[in-house]
Amino acid sequence: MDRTNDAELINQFRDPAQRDRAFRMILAKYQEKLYWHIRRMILVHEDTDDVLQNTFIKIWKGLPGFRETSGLFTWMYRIATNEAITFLKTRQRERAMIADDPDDMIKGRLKSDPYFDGDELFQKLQVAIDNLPPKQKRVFQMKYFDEMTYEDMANILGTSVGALKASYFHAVRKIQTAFETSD
Amino acid sequence: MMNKEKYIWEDDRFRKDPYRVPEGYFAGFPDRMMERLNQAVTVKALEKRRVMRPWMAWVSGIAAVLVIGWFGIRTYYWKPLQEVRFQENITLFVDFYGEELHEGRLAGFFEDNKIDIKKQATTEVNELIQIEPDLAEEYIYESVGF
Repeated sequence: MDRTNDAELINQFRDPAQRDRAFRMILAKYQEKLYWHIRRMILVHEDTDDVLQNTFIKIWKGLPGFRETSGLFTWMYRIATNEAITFLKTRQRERAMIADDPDDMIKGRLKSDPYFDGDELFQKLQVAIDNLPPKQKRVFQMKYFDEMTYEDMANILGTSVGALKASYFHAVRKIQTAFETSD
Repeated sequence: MMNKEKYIWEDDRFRKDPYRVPEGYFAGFPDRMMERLNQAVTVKALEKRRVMRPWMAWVSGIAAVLVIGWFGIRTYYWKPLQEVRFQENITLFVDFYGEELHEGRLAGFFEDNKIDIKKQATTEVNELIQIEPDLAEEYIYESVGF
């Protein structure tokens, strides 16, 4: 990540006269990365849009006090992750109340999303990913879809490269098993 | 078929997202976002102005003194067992989750401790502010619907 530019953006944001302009630049620079990170966790566009907006509201509120102990993107990525997890937890509670088959619910949501073109096989992959424990799920998504290095992931998640490799390995094994047993 | 699926993550077509966004979504997002932020700021400013009418400022001031005084006396003399437990619990709670701590978990914690944050933004929340200021601030904002 370009930390020098980010530092300039943060400084500009702290100046009330430049705040809006600086935030627009932050939006332009990071909106797509954060969107796709959230979308892969939440899957549906409409929900992702809500979570992304909430994420940027938190970023706006939190930026004046941002201590820059981590990079700007790392900090924003964490906020986006937490927002998505909070959303998923709420949905999980609703899901438990409906007592429907969770796998069918995911497939149903994907089918009803007009901005999803995946076939049956991809839906199956999403169900398998969704059934992973939260940490393995996050590691798998970051590695597989975002193609992040283990070093970047370790920086964002605050864990060791070894632990991440182990999580990814377990996630791959579980997805593989899910595919084998579903046929 | 099974062998093909077994190595599904090695197939490049799965790395190409089947997800799309509406046309022009990213081009229009900054404007929508700024509009929403400006609305939130305007509403907040209006509320602040309304709240700060002179007679309300007096009433709030007196109320604040009474509340602070009451909690001061309560904390100093009584220190109920429940509060002591809360302090221990929240320290353990924050230490246990560390980086994994987020608002959902925090909400659950407050719920388990029967704390309605909207009514009781008091000593309990202050404890949390000292331990995990960013998260507490976010959660309080969220809870009061800002």
